[in-house]
Amino acid sequence: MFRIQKTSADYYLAGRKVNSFINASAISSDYLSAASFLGVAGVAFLFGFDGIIYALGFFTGYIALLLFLASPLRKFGRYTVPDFVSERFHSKTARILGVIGVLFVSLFYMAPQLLGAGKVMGLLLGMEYRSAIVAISIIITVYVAVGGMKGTTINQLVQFWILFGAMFLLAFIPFVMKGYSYTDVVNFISSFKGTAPGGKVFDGAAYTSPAYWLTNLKDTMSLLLALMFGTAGLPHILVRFYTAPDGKAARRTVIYVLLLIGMFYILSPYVGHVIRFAYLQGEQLGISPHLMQWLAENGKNLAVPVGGSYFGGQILLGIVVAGAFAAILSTVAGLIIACAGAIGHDLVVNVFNPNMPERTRVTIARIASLGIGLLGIPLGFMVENMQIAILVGLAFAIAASTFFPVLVMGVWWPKMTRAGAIAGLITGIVGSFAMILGKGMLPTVLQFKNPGGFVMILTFAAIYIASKMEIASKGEDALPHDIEEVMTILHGPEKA
Amino acid sequence: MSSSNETVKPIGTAIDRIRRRQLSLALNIGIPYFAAIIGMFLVVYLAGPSVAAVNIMGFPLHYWLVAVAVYPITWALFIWYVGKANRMEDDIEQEDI
Repeated sequence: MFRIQKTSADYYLAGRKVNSFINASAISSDYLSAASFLGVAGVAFLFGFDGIIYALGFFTGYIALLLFLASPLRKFGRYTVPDFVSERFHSKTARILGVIGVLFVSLFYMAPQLLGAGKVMGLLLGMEYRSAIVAISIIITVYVAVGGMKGTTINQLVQFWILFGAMFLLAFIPFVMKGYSYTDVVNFISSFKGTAPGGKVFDGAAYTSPAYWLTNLKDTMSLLLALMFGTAGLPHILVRFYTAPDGKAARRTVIYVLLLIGMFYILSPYVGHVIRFAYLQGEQLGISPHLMQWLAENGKNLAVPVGGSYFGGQILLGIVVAGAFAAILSTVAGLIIACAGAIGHDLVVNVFNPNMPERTRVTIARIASLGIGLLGIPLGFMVENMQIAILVGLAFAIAASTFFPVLVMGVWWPKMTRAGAIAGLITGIVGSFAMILGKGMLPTVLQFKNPGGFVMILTFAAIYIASKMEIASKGEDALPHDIEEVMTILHGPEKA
Repeated sequence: MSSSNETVKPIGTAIDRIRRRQLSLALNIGIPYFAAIIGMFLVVYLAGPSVAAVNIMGFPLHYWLVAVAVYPITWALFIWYVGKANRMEDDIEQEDI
C-alpha cells in the first residue's frame, strides 16, 4: 500500500511513464475537483442558466491548453511553470515570481476543496464545519507526504470513475427512471413564479434566462475569459503533461480528457436543474423536511449530495460522498505536490542551492507538503460561506491572468524578453490579487465578479510593451543568448 | 555531396518557419473557435429573455447552444485538429534542419 519514493523525480511525477488514457483519467480526476463535482451542479442549482457558464468555461479551458501549450511544453520538458520561465528567460526573479504565482493559484484552488469537504462532512456526520476542516486537512497531508504522486496516479484512475459514475447515476435516475426529461425540468422551472420552499420569492422565468446572476456585460465577459483561459495556466494540470511520453502524446491526452470531462459537464447542469425542480415541488414529491432544510441553507454547495440522497437513497448518497471525497482528495493532493514542487524544486534547490543531495531534496519536498497541507486549515475557515465553483473561478482568474499570457507568449513569441516576463508576472499576480482581495476598495467600474479576463488583457499588454521597450533600449542583446536553441526545442522535431 | 552550391538556411529561419506553421494552424482553428463560443454566449446574453422564448424540439434554444451543442462540436473539431497537428509534427521530423 505505501510506497517509499526513492528519488525526488519519483515523488513529484511518478517517474514519468504513464500512458495517454491513464494519464487522461488522472488529469480529469485532478481537474474534476469539488468545484466540478459539487460546484458546477451547485451553481446551476443556485443560478440556473447563468450557472452553466462554469461548465462551459471549465470544458473549453482545455482547448487553449491543447492549441498552444500541451505539445511545446512537453517537448521543452520542464517540470513547472517557474522552471519554464527560468529556462526560457534565465531569470531568477522570474522564477521566484513564478513560485509565488503557483502558491497563490494553488491556495485559491485548495480553499474551495476544503469548503466542499467540510460541508459534506456536516451533512453526512453532522460534524461541525471547523472540526471537519481540521480533520480533512490532516488526512490529506499525511496521504500526500507518504505517497507522492505515484500513489495518487493509481488512485486517481479509480477516483475519476467513481466521480463519473456518481454524476451519471444522479442524472440517470431522474432522467430515465423517473422520466424527468431536461425539457420538462426546464419548462417546469421557467413557468414557476411565487414563493419557493423556505419562504423566498422565486422567479423561474428569470432563473432559466440569461442575466439572472450575471447582470452586466463586463462581469460576464471577464468571467468567461478567466474560465476559458485559466485551465491552461493551472500548475497542477500543466505538471501532469510531463508524464506523457512526447509532445504528440500530450495532445492525444488532451483529447481523452476532453471526452471524459465533456460527458461530465453535459450531465452536471442537468443535475443542478433537476434538483431545483425537485426542490420547488418538495412537499408534493415527499422530500423529507431534513433534506429540504439542507437544500434551503446549503443547496449552493450541497445540491449534489442532497440530490443523491433523495434520488438514490443511502446507496447513492454513499457513492456521491465517496465521489466528493475522491475529487477533493485527488485535487488537493495534486495541488500540494505542485506547491511542494515549486518550493522544494524551484525555490530551495534551483534558486538557493543547486548542489543539494538527493536525500535532502526528498526531505524538503515532504516538509513543503506538510506546510502547504496544513495551511488548508485557516484557508478552509475563511471561505465557509462561499460557493465552491465561484471560489475556484477565482483561482482560474489568477491562472488566466498570470500564467497563461506568460506561457503562451514565452512559447510562441521569440522576441519576448526577460523584462516582458517579469512585467507580465507582476501585472498578473498584483492585478488579480488586488482586484480579488481589494475589490471593495476599487471604484465600481473596476469591480468584477471575476477579474481574470480583465487582468489577462492587461498582462498581455504588459508583456508586449515591456519586451518592446527592452529591445528598443538594448537591441538584440535584450533577447536571451540561446533563444534559437530554446525555440528549436519548443517547436522543432523531437529527438528519437 | 558538395554543399558549396546549396544555399544553407541558417537554423533561425528554418525553426522560425516551423514555428510559424504550427502557430498559424493553432490560430486558424483557435481564433474562429473562441470567437464562435464567446460570440454565441454574447448573443445569447444580449438577446436576454427573448432567446428563452425560442424552443427547438420543446427545449429552449439557449440551453441547446450553451449546455449541449458545444460539446460534440468541440470534440469533432479538435479530434480532427490533433490528427492534423500531429501529422505536421511528423512532417517536421522528416525535414532537415
